[in-house]
Amino acid sequence: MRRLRSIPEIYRDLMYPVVAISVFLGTWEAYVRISGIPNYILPGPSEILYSLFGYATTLYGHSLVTGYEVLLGYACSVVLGGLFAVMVVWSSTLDKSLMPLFLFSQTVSKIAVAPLFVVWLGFGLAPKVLVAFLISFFPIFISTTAGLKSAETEMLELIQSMSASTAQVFRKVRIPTALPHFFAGAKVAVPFATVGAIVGEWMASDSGLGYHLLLMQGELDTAGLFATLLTLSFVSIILYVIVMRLERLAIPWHVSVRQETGVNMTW
Amino acid sequence: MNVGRQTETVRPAGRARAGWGGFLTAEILYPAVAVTLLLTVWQLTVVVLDLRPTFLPSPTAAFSKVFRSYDTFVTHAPVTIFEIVGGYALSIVLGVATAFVMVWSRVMEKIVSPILVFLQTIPYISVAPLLIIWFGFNIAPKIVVSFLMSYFPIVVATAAGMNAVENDMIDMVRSMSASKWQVFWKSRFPNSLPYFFSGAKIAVAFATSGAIVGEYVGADYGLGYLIVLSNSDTNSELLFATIIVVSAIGVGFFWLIHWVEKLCIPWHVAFREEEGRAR
Repeated sequence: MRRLRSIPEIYRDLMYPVVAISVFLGTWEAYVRISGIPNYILPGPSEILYSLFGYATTLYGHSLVTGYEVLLGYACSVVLGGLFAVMVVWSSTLDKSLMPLFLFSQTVSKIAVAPLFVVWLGFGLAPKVLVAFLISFFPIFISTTAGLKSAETEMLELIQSMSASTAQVFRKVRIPTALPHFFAGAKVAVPFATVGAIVGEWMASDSGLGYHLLLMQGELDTAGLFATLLTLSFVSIILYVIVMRLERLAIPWHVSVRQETGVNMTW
Repeated sequence: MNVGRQTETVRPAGRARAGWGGFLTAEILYPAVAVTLLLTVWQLTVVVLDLRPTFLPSPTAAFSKVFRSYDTFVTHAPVTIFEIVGGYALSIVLGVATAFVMVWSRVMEKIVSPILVFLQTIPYISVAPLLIIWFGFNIAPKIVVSFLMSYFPIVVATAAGMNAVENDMIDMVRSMSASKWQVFWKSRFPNSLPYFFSGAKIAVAFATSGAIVGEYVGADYGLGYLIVLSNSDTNSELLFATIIVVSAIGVGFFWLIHWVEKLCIPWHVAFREEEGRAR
């Protein structure tokens, strides 16, 4: 029924959040101007925007560094998360021996471990990528595993009765079933990877948005701090939108089904 | 929406065998063997390669450090626990309230849900430096980071649960001339509880991370502070001991929530375990 939706109605749906956000920003700006609150405590939206343009080249450079770390860590998570999920579902021996270790590793706070990687790997790119990877690995691995296991028994029996090999069972039944789960995990993992890179940069670095955040904090340049936060959110949202697009390309049938039923939550 | 399902579908394999024997092998024996193996390999690596304790302390040294530095942990751990509890309690109260408002009012749902979709992609840990400017080096900014980290999983899971009521059920309650409030209280609210708890279990780990990271950025007490301190002193033994304590706190909170869940919705927990066994 989506095609029948008239364009004005789409605008009307968009209108609600846009109006809410405008009201919020307007009140914020008015409050800052009227109360005369010092700008190192709370700068107005206009000042933040001004600072964003002022720092544009610096922020661009730093976001390339952070973006690279996030992307590398995230790519490792997607590849290894998917691979381990297939391995664990493929062989019950691997399931029994690896799964407890993965679950045990979940009890250790990855963020608490981050400083260790600086001791081990030094101040370069490696510790940030590793933290980004470790934090974003588990959601992808676990939802892909759940997806691979959620294939219908009838379907599995049917294809096995046609004497399909294990590889064929995976290619034809399990992996298509798992794709929506995989993408759900992959979307959850995007902000995780960003968090990992930022925390890694906080431990020790001389570039990247996390480094710039601390720099702005030290200078009490709160407008610059907000501008950095905006840039950081932007990096995270871009990656998120890319994953969403890929999902739409890979499993158009599922995305449309979800929209039909009106589930608009992305988790 | 896989938040509601994660905890249900994912459990160690081998659970299919019924009875205590099956339970023992699947739930206790396999993980115990795997973890023991891991620790043994780690211990042997350290002993055989004669690694410096600053690089990698042995597991026995790390564990014994927990007890040797008992006094240190008694000072720092309660601070962090307090921050976690504060942030987590705040996100449960406000998270459930947000979900309620979204489900209650169409207009609010239209305003909040698209904003929420984007808000939850923001890496909230990064607001910690800003909060330090606002609140100083005390515990307030840590509570706020802990809250921001754990808020969204709770909102999303609870709202999904309140929306996931079968239409037939709502029609039936309405046909008995229930008010809007009664529909909510009798059908939407109980239905949302399993979802809420699965969100709450995910969120408790986030709340822990939030408190620790808040302490990374600026603090003079707490386990996160201890991590930064031991790291800059290259005191890896203390660092590992702190990681063990942080992990123990995280697991402790998780089991606490699990226990509360069992008290509140025993029917669902039993059903889930039944289903797990059948799988």
